[in-house]
Amino acid sequence: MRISGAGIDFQALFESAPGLFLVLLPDLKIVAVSDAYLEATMTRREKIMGRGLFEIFPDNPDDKTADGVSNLRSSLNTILKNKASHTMAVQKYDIRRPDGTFEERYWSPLNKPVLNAKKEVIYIIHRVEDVTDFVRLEKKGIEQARLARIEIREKSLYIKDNEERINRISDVLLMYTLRDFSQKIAVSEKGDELDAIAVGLNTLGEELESHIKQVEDSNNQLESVNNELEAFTYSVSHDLRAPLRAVNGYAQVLVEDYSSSLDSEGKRILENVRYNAAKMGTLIDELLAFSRLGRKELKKTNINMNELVEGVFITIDKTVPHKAEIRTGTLHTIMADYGLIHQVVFNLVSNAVKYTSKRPKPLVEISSEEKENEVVFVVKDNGAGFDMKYAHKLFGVFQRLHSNEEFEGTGVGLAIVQRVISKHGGRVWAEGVQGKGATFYFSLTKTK
Amino acid sequence: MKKTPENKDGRIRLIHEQLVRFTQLDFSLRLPVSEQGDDIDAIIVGLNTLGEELSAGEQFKKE
Repeated sequence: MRISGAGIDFQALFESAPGLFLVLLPDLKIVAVSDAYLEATMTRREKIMGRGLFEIFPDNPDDKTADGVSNLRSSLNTILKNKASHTMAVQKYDIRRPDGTFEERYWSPLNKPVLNAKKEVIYIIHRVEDVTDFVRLEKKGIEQARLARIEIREKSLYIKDNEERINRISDVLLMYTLRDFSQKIAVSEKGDELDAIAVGLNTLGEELESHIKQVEDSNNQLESVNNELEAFTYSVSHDLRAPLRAVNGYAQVLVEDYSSSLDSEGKRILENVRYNAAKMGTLIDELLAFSRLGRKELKKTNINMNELVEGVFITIDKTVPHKAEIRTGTLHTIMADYGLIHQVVFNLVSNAVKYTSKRPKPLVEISSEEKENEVVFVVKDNGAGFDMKYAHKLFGVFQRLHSNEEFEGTGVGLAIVQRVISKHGGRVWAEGVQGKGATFYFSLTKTK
Repeated sequence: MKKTPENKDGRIRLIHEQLVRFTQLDFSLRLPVSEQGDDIDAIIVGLNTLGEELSAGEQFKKE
């Protein structure tokens, strides 16, 4: 039966309406349905007409959380009771496909009662909007937001993790700076740039540790060889004295008891023997003094260098005849071994006095100057000087740049100077011009 | 001193070059610190300081 009036086919209009409509009786049997509804629910009109709503559209049995049927039933009951429209919240209401499987769908339903004159519900218009696409988009947005949140969290964890790794690298760099190469950096499984740096630093630590061990071994070996050499020098010097005393003694006996039996040539040769024996004795004494330096422990005190230099002048005036003018400025105070520094200044000043002895106006000047971390003492003279190309030989044992006839000496004095200053952690050097004079410098760490 | 590379990879490459030189006991190379003030800069500052300390130690040994 077609419903019509005034020549209008209302049934055709209803069924063709661009919306999803279903008309129910109060017992929830289906009496009318729009084409759009049939299409959306994949049903056919003849299959659903006259049948119960929930018989045709049950819940998805595979979805344990499905509550579409109960929500719709509740809404319809409310309408029957209140006789007023009811808009439902968006429902997840899966649609059964012709093959029996279900398709996930979301609906926004509105249920409106149709009343008769007695205000009784005679029909219920059930209108739905398929909002599946909207919900899917919304869900997709929520999922994307969730993924974004996870990404942010992971990134912040990564940054935190990286911070810890960089802190570790910085800590190890600090330890390396303090010469502690025992620390190693754990390499992660990420294989990133920080791991590459960690591997490089670990290798560097191993190399430096090995290098330092080699240097320490070499130093120990050198120290051991030095100790042996000192012991040998001391022993040889000491043992040479006894036969030398014998040579000198027998020469003395010859002079005293057999002088009348010798002719003038014999006496001259005998004097030469005594002279050379005495010289050799001096050399041995100097060598012994030099070797003793290696064994001597430093006893550092605060030294007023002006007072020390005055003491040296007194000694020199008593032991070395000279006519040199000696000028001294205000000298810096230092912390060093008094006896050894006295020896250094004595050796330098007596050398200056010796090498200026042939000048008409011999002059020796002593001064000091303060540098960044050290105090430099200077002994300058206008004596014989030396050729700078031989400067490297000045401080060697028994090294001499002048003949004994020109200036007497053993060649040990400057070696002692270098050894003493080196023992104090200082430096010694010299500048000179042949025939015009020499300047000797020694530096000591500044007193704090 | 080397010029600051514009990208991170370039800066990492320089760090490796410096590490290799240090391993060969050549402590002279210093790397530029960029204006980015990032983790790589922090490591470069540490390595440059290490280089200063190690070369000062080597100098002391030579003297």
